[in-house]
Amino acid sequence: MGERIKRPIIWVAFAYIIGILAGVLFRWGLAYFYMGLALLVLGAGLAYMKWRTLSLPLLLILFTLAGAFNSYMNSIPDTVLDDLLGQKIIIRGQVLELTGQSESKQSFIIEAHSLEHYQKKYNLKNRIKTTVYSNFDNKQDIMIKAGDWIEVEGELEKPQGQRNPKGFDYRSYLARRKIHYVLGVPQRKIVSVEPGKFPWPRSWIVHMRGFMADAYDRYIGGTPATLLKAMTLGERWALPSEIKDQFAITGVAHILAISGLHIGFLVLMLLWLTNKLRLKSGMAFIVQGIVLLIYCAMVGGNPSVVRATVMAIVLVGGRAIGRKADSLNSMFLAAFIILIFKPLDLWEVGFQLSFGATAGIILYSKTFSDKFKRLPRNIAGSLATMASAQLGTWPLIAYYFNIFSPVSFAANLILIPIAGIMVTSGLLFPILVSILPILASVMGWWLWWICSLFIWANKWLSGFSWSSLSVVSPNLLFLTVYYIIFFIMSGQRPRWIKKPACISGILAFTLLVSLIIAPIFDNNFKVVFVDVGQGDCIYIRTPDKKHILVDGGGKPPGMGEFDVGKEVVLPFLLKNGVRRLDLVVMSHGHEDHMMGLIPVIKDLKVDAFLEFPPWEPTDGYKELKGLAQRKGVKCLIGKGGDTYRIGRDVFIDIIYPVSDKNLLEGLYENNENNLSLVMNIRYGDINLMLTGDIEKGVESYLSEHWNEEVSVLKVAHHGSKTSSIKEWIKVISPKVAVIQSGKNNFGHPNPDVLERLEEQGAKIFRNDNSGAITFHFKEGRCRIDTVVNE
Amino acid sequence: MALFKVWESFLDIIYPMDIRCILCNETGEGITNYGICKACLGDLPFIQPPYCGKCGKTVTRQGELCPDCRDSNHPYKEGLAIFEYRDGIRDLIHRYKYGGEKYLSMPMSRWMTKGLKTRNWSFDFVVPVPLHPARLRERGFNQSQLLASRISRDAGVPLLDKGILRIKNTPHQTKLNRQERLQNLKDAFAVREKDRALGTIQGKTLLLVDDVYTTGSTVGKCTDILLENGAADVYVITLAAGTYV
Repeated sequence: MGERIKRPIIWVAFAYIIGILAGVLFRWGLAYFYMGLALLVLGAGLAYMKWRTLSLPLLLILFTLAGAFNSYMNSIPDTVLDDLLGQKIIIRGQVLELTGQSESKQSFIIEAHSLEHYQKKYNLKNRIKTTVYSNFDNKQDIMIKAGDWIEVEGELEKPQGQRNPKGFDYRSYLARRKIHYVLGVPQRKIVSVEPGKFPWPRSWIVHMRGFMADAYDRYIGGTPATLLKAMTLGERWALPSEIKDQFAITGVAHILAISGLHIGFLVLMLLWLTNKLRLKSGMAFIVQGIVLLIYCAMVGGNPSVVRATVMAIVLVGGRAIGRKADSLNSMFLAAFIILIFKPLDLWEVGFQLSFGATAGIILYSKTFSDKFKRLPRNIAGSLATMASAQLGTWPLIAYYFNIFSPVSFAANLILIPIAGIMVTSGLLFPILVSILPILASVMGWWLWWICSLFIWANKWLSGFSWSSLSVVSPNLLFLTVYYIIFFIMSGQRPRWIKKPACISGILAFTLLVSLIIAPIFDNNFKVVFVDVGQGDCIYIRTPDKKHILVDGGGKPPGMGEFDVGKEVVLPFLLKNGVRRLDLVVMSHGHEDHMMGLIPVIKDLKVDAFLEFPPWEPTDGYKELKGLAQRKGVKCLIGKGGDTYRIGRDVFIDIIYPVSDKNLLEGLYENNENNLSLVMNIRYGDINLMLTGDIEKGVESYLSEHWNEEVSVLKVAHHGSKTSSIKEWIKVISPKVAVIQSGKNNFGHPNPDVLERLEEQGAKIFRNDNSGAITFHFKEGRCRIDTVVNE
Repeated sequence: MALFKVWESFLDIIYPMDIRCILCNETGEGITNYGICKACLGDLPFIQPPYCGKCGKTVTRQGELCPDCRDSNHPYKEGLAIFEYRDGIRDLIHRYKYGGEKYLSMPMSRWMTKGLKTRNWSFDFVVPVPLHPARLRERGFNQSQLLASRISRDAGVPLLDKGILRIKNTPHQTKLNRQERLQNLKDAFAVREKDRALGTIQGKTLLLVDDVYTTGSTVGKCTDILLENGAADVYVITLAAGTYV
């Protein structure tokens, strides 16, 4: 190292982060760690004896090992209660925080202190995420608050892990919050709720939160109060989901996450206040630091809050001791501090977005403000901040949320100043309430208007058709190359990088070439049985990159708020690079097959829609069909005997419903299931039989009119006992049978059905056991991947 | 001292000082300890010889006194100012005093210590021009005291922190003319009772430190009070000297 290192913390943090990645990706054992440590100590000793100094490379290795060790220790799963999974247990504990609330359920985290199972009692200390479901007959409001002692009976489960390729992994998400179990509790199984208190200082912080929330609720009320609680206290879960969606569309969701913006306003207020109070610099720093720390603790230590707090404390501390904070240095210090305590936060979306935005502002805001020189100074400044933050976050937003919002520029420009007023007055409001109660209702009224204006403006901005676009997730290679270029093209690149433009050009070119070449080798016939819970969804990709979706899962309206299409199917497609579908097939008009297709047709480009129109259409079907027609999707009606050719060498033979109306009426049996499209999808000598929800009668009819064996059978009607009769299974004798079933009350799949399939020599795959099931066919060989391998 | 070193190197990690030019805020080679880049350094208004033999301001011929010093008889022995009070230095001093950028005392005191080496002065104590407690509360710190303490550390001469006290809160000098300034400063300064009793400055040579020198009335009054209390001689060092117009 010829040159002196200017910001050692960056090197150390980098080394530590590499260690964290290594610790998790390679699952280093402790043995490796101790070996490394021993070597390091030896090396350090030798180096010190020789040069009387601990050289930098050794220091960096030390921090890499520390990172590996820390992430390894933090990623060991907790299995204490695994023996009780699926059992009814009673737990007693304290409510740590509320995490969600809706019409039909309420969720919170309990720190369980004791557990009862079959009259036996155990003491423990374990965080359990608990969800209370209210049933329709016995609906009553129970107010559960943080701090309450609660006793509930429910069924213990592990959180759902990843279910689909590139899908969300709720289990890891909770594990990062030290939660390894979830408990589902029907409302009537709440044994007792008693008000409780946390030990000091937590009690005090909870009290302050309560005081602020109370002030908002009493003097402002309604959605504006909820919005203020989200923006000043971080209680985002209480916001109506449609408002959250609008924020995501307009690209201002960051206003809802307490971060630099909020802490920035707080710092400005504090600087003004300590200046007015004529505090000496040391005293001023102590006051500022304490207020910042209390606020950070109050709103919960999310990575974005901690990041902003650390950077703010370094900033005001510098003023006190006569030093100047260097924002890049402070940013890495903040990252390092967060990752010391929570190494796995590196995988938190909030962490990545917060640091992406900050890095963008630090590295590029000056470049942009130079570009906007001709505009008035404060407008140029805000524009530069926004543009540079966007530069640091858009690939991540595309990657995680599949959204790109063209409107976000305008939205930020309009909404951030209003948010500034809201945050500052929102923070001051509770103080005002306690000093001057007379003014409270006037101020509250005014705040209500500001908040309503904010919500209205945001809604308006989110309403344009071009407000946001659904985009596919960029792949990891793209992200890596993007952020390398992002870093080296900035003025802060290490000085040993001499020709940044040249390196960036080479990197970008390599990326481009690899993005063009890689798909050429990815030319298998791919079929994914997507895990949509209870329901059907099959994605097919032909070797020449045509995309077909058969069914999209879903639920009848009113059966829970979870939108399978929006939360599962659409993300599955976009995260796996599918933005355009050549063909969408609806097997029949039942909600668990077609509701999920609505968001797909709404948000993606769909060329053709194939169906057999239901005889008793549901509202959901009408919505889907209307949407398809409005969007100009070519609508096709399939009937037995038709064959569609998709791409060069994939054929869809429709073998049912028959075109003979009288015959069909006989087979219908007043059941829409019996109007399911039955399709044999052919690729070379591979037959893929998709049967929708057909029942006995149709199967028996088909057994007499079909005589080919198939490679893969999608078992009819989720493995229901009313389907999969012996003669039909015998005729097609599938090598592999896939059952698309999830948690259900119908008893799918039926044990007899499973037996019949096995008798015929079929290997059975089930979505409820395996998550998504992917078939890769290439040159006569077949590889089957499942997402869950337990 | 070792503890102080550890603390300083800890601060150096949290607050790296070698990153940006304090004037143009660009990163560059060779910037250390809140330094300045080569381009900006070239633009700074250093006072070059010929300078006034009394107060140190620029004059046209070496050996000549400036018009100001010709008119009045400054009580101090000799003065030194590093810069003319204009351009970048003016901004720096403004940011330092009113913008809370206290770290600027580092490069400033470095320039002053370096300038001190061009003179052959020897002195026993470094004394800052005081700030009235009320003003101190307003500003949060005494800009001259911070400079003085750094100069004292660099020059290895003890600091007499409260060598002079400001006992009268006088209005800002900036809007006043020379006569008003003198009137304004009447009975503004004093020496601590303790120092008087102990005779701390009896027969000592002192270095008086201030940020800006304009008419010399402030440092003049301070010198008076020091000499009255038995100081042998007083030198004056300021970061910048402004021409009074």
